[in-house]
Amino acid sequence: MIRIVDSLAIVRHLKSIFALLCLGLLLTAPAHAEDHIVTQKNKAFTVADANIKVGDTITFRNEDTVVHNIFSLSDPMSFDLGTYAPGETRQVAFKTMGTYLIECSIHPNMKLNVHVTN
Amino acid sequence: MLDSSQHEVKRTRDKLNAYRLLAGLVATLVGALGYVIAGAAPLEQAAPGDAVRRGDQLFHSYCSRCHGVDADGKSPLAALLSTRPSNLRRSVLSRADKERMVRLGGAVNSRSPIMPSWQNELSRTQINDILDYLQSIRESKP
Repeated sequence: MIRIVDSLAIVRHLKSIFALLCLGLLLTAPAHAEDHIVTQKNKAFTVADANIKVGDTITFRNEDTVVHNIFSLSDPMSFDLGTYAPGETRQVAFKTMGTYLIECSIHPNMKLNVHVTN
Repeated sequence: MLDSSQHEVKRTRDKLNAYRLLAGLVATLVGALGYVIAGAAPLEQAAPGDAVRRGDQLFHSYCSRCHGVDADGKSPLAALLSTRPSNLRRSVLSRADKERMVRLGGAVNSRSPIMPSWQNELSRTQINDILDYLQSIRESKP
């Protein structure tokens, strides 16, 4: 009788431990990264500013009639996406906090500020 | 009271006077126009240096980010590119080849595709201005 009671207690304890473990995993799991779309049209970005979270990505979509070459020389991370034609896309993951000035090497008036926060 | 023949004469005289008046007006207008044309300032001729100045501005707006502010191929963006942009101060290409390169891009000219085609962005005049500018800063051979 005493052994059965002990077994039940142990099972209850195990259940509590398991529940605590699951809760812990949920609280510490990373937030789902979002993808943001920024369009190029009429030799301009369709937005002037973008606010995103660390880990998010931006998909640069060329909906223009001309090619674009998007790049950034900002300190957090520099990149060059190369020339891509109308209809094509390029994606960048922003893993470092900071402000990025995004430009086009072909169209000097194209500018986009991306603010990456936690 | 005038008879019919006198009426005829009067009508003819009136017509002649009207024609004389019209001729006088036309002559006055032609004379005035001639005076204006003769007195107009001659068309301003663009100085040769203007093309180089325009080319300088165009180069710095469109080309310097890759080719560098000194056109020597050194720029912050150049460090990210898989093919280093040309040092345009020492280019051995002919003017015609340079013009084709700028207008049609690198891929068409068997060079790096990183060099874009500028024919949709720059007019022929603007491209020539840039070439004039590049000629003006070309380093002479040692």
